[in-house]
Amino acid sequence: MGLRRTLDFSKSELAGDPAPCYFAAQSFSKGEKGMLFRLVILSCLYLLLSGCSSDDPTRNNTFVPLTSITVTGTYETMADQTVNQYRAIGDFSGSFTRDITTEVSWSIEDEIIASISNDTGSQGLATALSPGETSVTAWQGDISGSAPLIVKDVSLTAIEITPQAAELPTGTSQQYEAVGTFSDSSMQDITVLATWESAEPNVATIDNTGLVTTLASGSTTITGTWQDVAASSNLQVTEATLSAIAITPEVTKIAQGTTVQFQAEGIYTDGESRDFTGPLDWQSADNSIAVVDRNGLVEGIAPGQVEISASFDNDGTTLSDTFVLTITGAVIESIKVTPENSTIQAGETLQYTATGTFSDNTQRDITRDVTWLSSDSTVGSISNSSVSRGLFTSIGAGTTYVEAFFNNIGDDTLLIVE
Amino acid sequence: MRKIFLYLIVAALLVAGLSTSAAADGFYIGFLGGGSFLPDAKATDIDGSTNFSFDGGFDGSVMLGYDLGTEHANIGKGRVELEYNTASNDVTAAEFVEGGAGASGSADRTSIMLNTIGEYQTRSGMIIYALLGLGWAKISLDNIAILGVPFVDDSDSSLLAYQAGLGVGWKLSQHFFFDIGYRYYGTMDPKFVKQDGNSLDYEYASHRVLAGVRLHF
Repeated sequence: MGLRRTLDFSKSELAGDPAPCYFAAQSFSKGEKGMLFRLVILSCLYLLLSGCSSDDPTRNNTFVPLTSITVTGTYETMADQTVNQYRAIGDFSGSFTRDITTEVSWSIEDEIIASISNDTGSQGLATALSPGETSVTAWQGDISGSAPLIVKDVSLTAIEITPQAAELPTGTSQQYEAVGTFSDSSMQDITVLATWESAEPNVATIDNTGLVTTLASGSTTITGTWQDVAASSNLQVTEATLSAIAITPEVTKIAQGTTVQFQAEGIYTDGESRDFTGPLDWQSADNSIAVVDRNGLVEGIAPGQVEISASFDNDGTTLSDTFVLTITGAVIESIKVTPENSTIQAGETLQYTATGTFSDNTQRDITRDVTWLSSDSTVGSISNSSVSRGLFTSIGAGTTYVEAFFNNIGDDTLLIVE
Repeated sequence: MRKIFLYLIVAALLVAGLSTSAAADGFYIGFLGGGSFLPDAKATDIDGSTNFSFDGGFDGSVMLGYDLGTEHANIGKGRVELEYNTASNDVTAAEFVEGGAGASGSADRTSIMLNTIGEYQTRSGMIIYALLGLGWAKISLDNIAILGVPFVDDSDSSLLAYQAGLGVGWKLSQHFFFDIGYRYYGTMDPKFVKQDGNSLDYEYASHRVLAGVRLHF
C-alpha cells in the first residue's frame, strides 16, 4: 500500500498548498512514514554491510623470503623397490611455515639408489632402486633442504590387509589397504605396489589401487600380493542398500594447522549403520578455513567456521551430510610424547602418542600432526606414514630419543632397545 | 584544490550578501568534505586473492546542482546535481592465507556523479534526504608495496560508479544550507596491472561521511 502511494500523485495533492513540500511522502500517514523511513534505513544498512564483506584470502604470502627448507620422509628407511613420500616444509623468515612440496624442485644425490619424482601429482615421491644410502634435496632458488634416504636390503615377510572380514551392502565401495612387514620388522604401506584380486568378480571387483566395488550379494575373497607374498580378506556382500550417510568428526573444534579425521557412517535399508569408507566426495565450503582430503581428513587453515560435507552418488541419487567444524586461532604451546622412558626388545614395536597443549588451554592428541624423528636410526625408526604414524620399529640394541615436532615446538623421550 | 575551495567560499559569501530574493529554487553550488572509509578490498591475481586494509582518508566533493523547490511539483521535492569528488586512502596491510603483512601505498579515486536527491522537510525545519547517484570513476593504485616489495605502481582503471546515501540538512540563511550525510559508494570491479605485468582484479567501495554547505542562487 505504502509503495503504491509513493507513485500516486493525484491532482488534488498537486493542487494543494505547495509550501511545505511536494514530496509524495507528505501525504502518508504517520505509520506509513515510519515504515518508509525504516525501509530506507534498512536498505542503507544492507548496502553498508554488503560493502564491508570480503572473502578470506586464498593467496599465499610470497613476499616474505623463504629462509630454510626442512625435508622429511614418510619413512626413515625404506625397503628396496618400495616408495617413500618426501615433504618439504618452508620456513619464511620465521614468520610462518608452509608445505612447499609441490613448489620445490626435487633431486637425489645417487640416482642408482633411488629416483624422485618432479611430476605433477607425485612431487617428492621417492622410489627405491637398490640398497644404499643417499640424500634427497628440495630446492627453491638458492635455498635447499635435505634428508637422508636409506634403502635397506630387506625382504617382505608378511602382508596385512585391512579391513578384515568386511560386510558391505551391494553397490558400495571400500578402500582396502596393504601394509608390508619386512625382514627387519619395519613396516610400509604397499597398497599401491600390491596386485589386487577378487576371487568372485561377479560379487565384487577391486582395482589396482585397492578400491573394492560390490556388485551382487554373496561372498568373495580379496587378495593382495607383492613380491610373492600374499594375504587375503573375506568380504561378505549383503542385499541391503544404502539409504543415508552421516558424518562425524573426532572433535568439533580444532586449532589451525592441526587435523581432524571425519568418520562416515552408512545407514542401510535393513536398519543397520555401518562404517562407510566408500568413494565419498568430501568438500570444504571454504578452503581458506579448512581443507579436506579424499579420506575425510580435515586440516584447519585459518580461524573460522566451515561446513564440511560428504556426498555419495548412490545409483543416481545423491546422499549427503554436512557438519559445521570450528577452527580456532589457538597456537601450540607444548607437546608431550608418551610413553616416556621406555624399554623394548629388539624387533619389537612401540606406538607413541603426542599430546599438544594449546594457547586456549585445550589439549588434543596430535600424533597425526607432528613430525616424528628417531635420534639414532641404527636403533630404530619411527613412522610418519598416515597408516602408522608414531609407530617406532626397533632394529638393533642401543639408546635413542624419540622426538616429535610441530610448528617449532617439540618434545622427546628416551627409548632403550635391548 | 585548497585554493579552489577558498575561492568558492569567498564567492559564496559575496553572493549571499548581495542577493535578497527567495532562495532554494534554482541553481546551487556546494562543497562537502569528510572521511572516506574503505572496507577491506579483495584483490585477485593468478596466485589467488589478497585482502587489503586501509586507513581512513580524506574525501571531498564540489557540486553544481538545481533545486526543484516548489516550482516542479509534478516531479517532487528534491534536487539534481553534478558532483565532482576525490578521495585517497592509505593501504595499511595485506592479508594472506598465512596472515597479515605490512603494506604501503594508496588507493585514490576521482569521480564525476549525477545525483538525484529526494527531500522531506520536518516541522522543525530539518531536511531529511535520500540520494542516488550514477557516474564515472577513475580508481588508481599508487605505489602499493607489500613488505617493501612493489606490487602495483601507478595503475588506474576507469569505470561505472554508483552511490546511495542518507543525510540531513538545515537552512542556515536565505541562501545557505548546511548538509551532513552518509553515502555508500561503489564501482564496477576495476582491473589493474601489477608490477610484474600480470593483471589484478580489484573491488572498490567506500563509506563516505561528509559535511558541507550549499549556496543557493
